Order: sequence, then structure tokens, then C-alpha cells
Amino acid sequence: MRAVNRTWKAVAIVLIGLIAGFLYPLLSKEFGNPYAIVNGLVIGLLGSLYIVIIELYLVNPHNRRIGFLARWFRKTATYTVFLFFLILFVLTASRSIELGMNYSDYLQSDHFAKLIFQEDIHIIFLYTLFLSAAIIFVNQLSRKMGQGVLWNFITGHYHRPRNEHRIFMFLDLKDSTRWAERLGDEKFSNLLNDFFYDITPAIIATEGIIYRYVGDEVVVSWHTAQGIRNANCIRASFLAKLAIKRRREYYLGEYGFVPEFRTGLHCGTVVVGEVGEVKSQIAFVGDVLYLGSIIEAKCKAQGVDNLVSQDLIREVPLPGIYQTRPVSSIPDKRGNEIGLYTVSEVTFTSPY
Amino acid sequence: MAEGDIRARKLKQGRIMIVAGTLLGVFYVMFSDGFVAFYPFVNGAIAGAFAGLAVAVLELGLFAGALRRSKFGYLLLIRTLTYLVLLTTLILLVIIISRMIRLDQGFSQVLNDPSFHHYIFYEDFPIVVVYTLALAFSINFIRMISRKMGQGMLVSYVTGSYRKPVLQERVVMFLKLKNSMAISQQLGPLIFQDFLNDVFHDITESILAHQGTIYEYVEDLIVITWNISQGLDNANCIRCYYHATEELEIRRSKYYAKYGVVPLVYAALHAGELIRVEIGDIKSEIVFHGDVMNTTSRILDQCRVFESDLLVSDALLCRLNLPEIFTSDNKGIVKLKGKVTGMGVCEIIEKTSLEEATETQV
Repeated sequence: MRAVNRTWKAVAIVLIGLIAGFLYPLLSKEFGNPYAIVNGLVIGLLGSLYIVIIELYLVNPHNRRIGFLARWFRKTATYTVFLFFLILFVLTASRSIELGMNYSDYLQSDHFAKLIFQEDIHIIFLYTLFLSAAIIFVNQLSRKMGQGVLWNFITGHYHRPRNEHRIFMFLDLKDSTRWAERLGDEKFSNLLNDFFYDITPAIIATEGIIYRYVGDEVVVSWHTAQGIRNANCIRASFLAKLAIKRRREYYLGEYGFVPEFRTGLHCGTVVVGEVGEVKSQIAFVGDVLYLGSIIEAKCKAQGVDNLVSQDLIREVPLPGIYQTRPVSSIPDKRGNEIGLYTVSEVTFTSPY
Repeated sequence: MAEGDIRARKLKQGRIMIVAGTLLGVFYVMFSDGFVAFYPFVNGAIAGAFAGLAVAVLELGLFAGALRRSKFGYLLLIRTLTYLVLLTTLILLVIIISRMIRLDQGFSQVLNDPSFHHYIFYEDFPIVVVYTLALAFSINFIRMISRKMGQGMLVSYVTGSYRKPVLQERVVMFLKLKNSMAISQQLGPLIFQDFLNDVFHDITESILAHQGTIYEYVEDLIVITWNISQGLDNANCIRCYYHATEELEIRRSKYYAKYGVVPLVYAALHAGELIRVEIGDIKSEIVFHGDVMNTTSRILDQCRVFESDLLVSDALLCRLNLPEIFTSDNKGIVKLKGKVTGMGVCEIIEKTSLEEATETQV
């Protein structure tokens, strides 16, 4: 799966804004009026830039856990109000230029009163409301479906299965059976949700894609190029560990322990394809996945927190802060041994 | 049984669409014209009924066939355009007919009327077309996405029903392809995916027609769940399996010609309480947690041991009202991982004749 990158998202949103701004005069019988079209484009541009800045560059979407409907209503309301006043401003400004009037004079004139009370101001409001609601809805839905999933469904990129070379990380909670018994089903389910929630930013920051959740396990995947860049696939688990550490007080207070996890990393060629027509999934299929989970399970026996296969170690240029140590090996399907390495950060000691 | 269920379901859906269309037509007139005259209501009802009929034909005929497997973007385009053409034609016809009545003109007279031309090209009509386009696009988009996400998922996400864990009693079926290792080696991984997709596509309608909900696909395995009452009712969970195998049987020659193999499936059924909860912030999933899933998976493993195509746990069987053509054969106790007590399982067998049944009862 491809995660659509931020710049492209920004470009897409601005384009949609421009198109919507261009379409509006068409709908409001003002087609052919150059002022209306310029206004439409200006509004579309400013409005979409506002959205891009707020959504993609300022707000961290992970900061709050609120329900779908609540978030939808809240966002729609904010956007509608902002965009509506933007439109009103651009419209009045362009009218005042058109009439050759000073802006404040225009606001006090009959033209302004007429605009507010007699023209299609209410239609503009409804149009803004409808459009923001629709876009925010699709955006939230796309988030729920996973990075790039909606987009890949629409383009049909994986409609026919394809071979892809990818990196996989299996991230598994330590001692989950014991904690599940101790906490009870409901509390444990809350724990898992908190845990998944807290490690998500680390995965996004390292360009990983959350493929699926299997019980207490998260399967993360990278396009090889993206996973290798900055040693993203290796850094992901270290970042996630830090994220959990920073929340240790919360976990201790709420559940009586701080969750720890193990990771197994492997890479190779898998088949990627849309599966099923109802409840469709974009699925990865291949031995790589099976071996990845075996590698992860091997961590426990070897008493280490992470294991990386030699296939991957060979491909990733590791930053100096990381050191590797050969630990063990597992046989692949053909009986060849795959060496396993554990990666750790170099520890520094310095005299006082 | 094989064809009946799906057709009955389609006919029922078709009737609902026509009735809904008629009612919408009447409502529209009520809101736009009020109760001034009687004629508009007849117009509205007739136009609505035709629209409903057209939608039913499109949805249950044209769009229900092979087209359903086309790419999302392509299908969305086709559906939107079809509906746009259909609805604008209908609106145009209604306008023409109402003008014929109002102005007491013939069909061709209306068409040649300059005021009609003016209305079509310069007045509200282009706006109506654009709104119809927007409406057709959004409704089709939401419907198609909802299907992709799985039955009821979209609504559950939006309303947040499972943001807090919920305890639910459900019937669970694991349905798996036989001999998949050998088939996948024979076909190679890419073709095998196509093959699997064909199989899943062909049994999807069987699952929907028996009120099953597709929970997930795990390689060559489908996990289906039922709300307990719907699963037990009409022995839907059992019938679903047989219906699905028949759907595959009907298409044997197609599979053989295309892949050189014929798909056969086996299944395990169990029921019990599960925790259902929405997890994850990105790529959210509504998952089931609980022993029932593990147990069903264990029962599925036993299918291979006993060489049975359909194994049902005692926990489910004792609550099922088994239809007369089926009989159950006790296979004993299956040991479960980490549990002291095992789970009794039975094989479901279809009787070859009903007389045999009376004999065994005597």
C-alpha cells in the first residue's frame, strides 16, 4: 500500500478548493461574470490553504480521542463558520472594488444590506456547510480505513494482485496472556487500545503503514525504499518504546504496569491484492509474513526485545548509534538458515 | 434452495425500492406544491414508481453481475453517469408531461415551444442537472464504500457503537479452502490470489442471503459471524455453508477451465460470547476478542483429523433447530489449548433420503 504523502495531499486539497470555487458561480447563474469567477477562485484558494495549514501542518490529529460524530460536527462547524466569513469578505471586497467604493462605505451602503438580506447569501452558507461536511466525512472515513486504503480502492491499484518488495514489522505486547487474565477482558481491551493509540505516531513518523491488528499484535509495513530511508523501519520500534515510556505514569496508574513489546523485522517479496468484494481488504500474502511472525516469536526464547533478519540488515544502512549482534537463526522454506540480529542503541558512559 | 434464497431476497429488495420511489415522489409533490390539486400527486407517484423500478433493475440486474468486480473508480464513474442520465431523463419527462397537461399541448408541441427551450437551456434546468450529478455521485460513493468496509461497519464507525467494548453473543463460522497449499503451489502466488478472489466473490451472495456478516479474510479463510438469533433462525449458519458449496459446484467447469482446479471448502461452526470493540486510531478495525474465535479455529483443525466438511460445536448444536434433511454425527471431544475441559463436536451430514431418517429414529 502507498501512503499518500503530505505534499500531494496538500496539492489535492488546494485543487479541490479551486474546482469548488470555480463551480460555484456556475451553479449560481452567474456564469460568464468574470468577477464571480475570480471571487470563486480566490475563495477556493484561501479556503483550501486554511484547511491545508490547519489539518496537515498545525494540528496533530492524535492529540484527542473523540468520537466520529463529535469530531465531524465540531470540525464541520468550525470550517463552515470560517469559510463562510471568508466568502463574505471576498465577496464584499470585490463588490466594493466593482462599485468603486471605500470598503467601510460599502458596508454601510444599501448594496451591502441588499446582499445580506436579498441575495443568495443563504445558499452560499448551505453550499459551504454541505461541502465541508462531505470533505471532512470522507477524510475521517479514509483515516479509519487506513493509510492509503481508500485511495488504493478508488484507483484500483491492487485490483489485480501485484508482487511487491516490502519490509514487515511484527510488534507484539509482552506477557499479554498474563495481563489479559489479570485485567479482565474489558480492561485489557482498553489497554490494547491505549497502547495502539500511543504507538501510532511513531509508526507514522517513520512512514510505516499499519497493515492490521491481530489480537495484541500490530503488523506494520513499509515500501522498501521508505523503510530503508533514515533506517525508518529500525527506528520505528525505538520511537514507539520512547512514546510508551513517556506515558508510563498513566499506564502505571491505570493498569498497574507499563506495557513492553517485542518486534520482529523481515523483508521480502509479497503478493498485494484486494481481497473480497464485501468487507474488502488490501491483503499481503507470502512466506515473508509467516517468517516475520516466527522471528518475532523467537525474541522470547532468545530473551531480546527485537530481532531483525539478515535479509533486512543487509539492506538497511544503520546510523552509527545502532549496533547489531548476531543472535540466532531460523530455517526458511527451502531449509536455508536465515541469520537473526538484535539491534540496540550504543550505550555511552562518561566519567564525571 | 440454491437459487431460491438469492432471488427471493432480490425480489424483496426490488419491491422495497419501487414502494420507496412511489412514496418519495408523493412526498416531493407534497413539499413543493402542497395539497392544491390532485394531478401532481398522480404525476409524482407515477414518476417515483418508475424511478424505483429503474433503480431496482439497475441495482439488482445490471450492477449486481460481473460489473461488481470492476475497479472502484471505474464502477463509481459508470454508476454515477448511469444514474445521472436516468434521473435527468426522468425529470425531463415529468417536466414535459406536466407541461402537456398544464398547457394542453401535444408532446411535439411542447418540444417545439420556445418557452420550453428557454427553460431547458437558460433557466433552472442546468442547475438541476448539476445537483443531480452531485447527489448521484455522493450516494453511489457512500454506498460503494460502505460495501467495501463491510456490512454495518460504516454505521458503527460513524455512531461509535463499539468505541467502548460490547459483549455480544454470536455464531462464528470459519470457512476454509481445501488443499490450498497444493493449489497455491500449482498456480503460483499471483494467480492463486485471483483464484481466491473468484471463490470469495462467488460465495459472497450466499453469505449475505443468509444474514451472515463477513468479519475478515485470512489468506484462504473467511471468518463469518451472525447475530445469534439470525444465525439460529432457519438454521441460517448451516444453510449458508451448503449454499456456498453449491454456488461453487455450479461453477465447477468455469474454475476448471480457468485454473485447472476446482475449489472445495470446509467449515467449522461455534457460538458464544465475544467482546466487540473498535481498536486503533488509524486503520481502525472493529474486532472480536474472545475464546470463541480460538475454539472455532481449533474445531476447524479437527475437520482435517476427522475428514469432515462441516463440524459444529455442541454449544451451538444444542441451540440449533436442525432442518430435517440434516443429521449430526457425534465426533467426541476436542481438546482446547490451555483448557482442562474440551468441547464436544458433531459432524453435520446431509441425508440422502428422508426415509433413512425415520429408520434410524425407530
